[in-house]
Amino acid sequence: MIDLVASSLIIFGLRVLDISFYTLRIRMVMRGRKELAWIFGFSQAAVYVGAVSLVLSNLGNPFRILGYAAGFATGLVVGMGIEDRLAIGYTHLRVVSQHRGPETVEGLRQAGYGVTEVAARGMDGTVAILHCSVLRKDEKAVTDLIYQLDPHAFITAENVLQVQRGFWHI
Amino acid sequence: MMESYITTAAVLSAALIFLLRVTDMTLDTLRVLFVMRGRKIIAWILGFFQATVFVLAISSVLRNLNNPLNILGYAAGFATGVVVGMTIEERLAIGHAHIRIISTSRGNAIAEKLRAAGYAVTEIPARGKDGTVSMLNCSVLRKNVDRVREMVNEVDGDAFITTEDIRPIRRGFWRA
Repeated sequence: MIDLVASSLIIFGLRVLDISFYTLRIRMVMRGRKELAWIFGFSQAAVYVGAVSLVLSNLGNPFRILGYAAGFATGLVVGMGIEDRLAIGYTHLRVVSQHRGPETVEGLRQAGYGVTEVAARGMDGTVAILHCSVLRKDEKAVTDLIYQLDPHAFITAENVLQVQRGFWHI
Repeated sequence: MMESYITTAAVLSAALIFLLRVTDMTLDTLRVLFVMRGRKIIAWILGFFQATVFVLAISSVLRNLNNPLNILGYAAGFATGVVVGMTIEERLAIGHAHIRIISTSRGNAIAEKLRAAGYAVTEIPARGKDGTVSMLNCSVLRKNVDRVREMVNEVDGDAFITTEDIRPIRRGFWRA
């Protein structure tokens, strides 16, 4: 019984490790980061053939299968969490503010972020569209700041692939 | 004992595993990238060939992964295939991209130049920290991104340029 629990936990742990690398690799492929994709791909494959494939032949038990599947699913979430923490790359924020455009711009610039303002029209009259390109690791701080300045702001974020110059808050 | 691993036969089998894995992961990476761009037909074809290579070749190799050299070949082939797939996809540059250019004073000149070269540009007057700027929106085929960027740099070396992946919805003007 203890053997069974232990082997299930080992299978779970190994699968979490190799699927975390898998998730990180796919995210790096999506962002076009070749070096990191190579490193995560190598780690994933090494863990897989070095460890996971050895236990695959012993899966003939519901408990171990549960460990395998739960490890797989947990690995996906862990990998996504790690990638969010690493926050490699850039994000483009588009903010639509109905009444507090100028104040929001002012606040963002004071905090050191570059903003380009565009006047636009919404359903109830003039609105401001703010374009703000930031490092991905600053995304949370910037959106929090925007919501402080204008609680009704509408914010969308896009993944920016390639960047040249501009003003970046470091 | 390292010497016992490195015989001609061992190196050859590791190299074979490496090459098979490069092939399979190149197809896999291309497939993932095409799935992301919503290209169903190409994704199907790539998925079919990847699965074929995997079933015919990789699965038989998996049983022989009992020495470190083979494991190294396997993992290095896997990782290299990923990078090869990414590089091929970049070269193919299938799809569209949206380029956003912010220029403090040469916005109009950039727009003129791009239009003269046949690209569609939408100009928007906007405000930056030090007054009026122009924001240019330009959607192009991905394979033209570098050319557009060079043209922008020729006119305004200080322009701020970002690129995004887009999926065209409909119409608009596309330079073929």
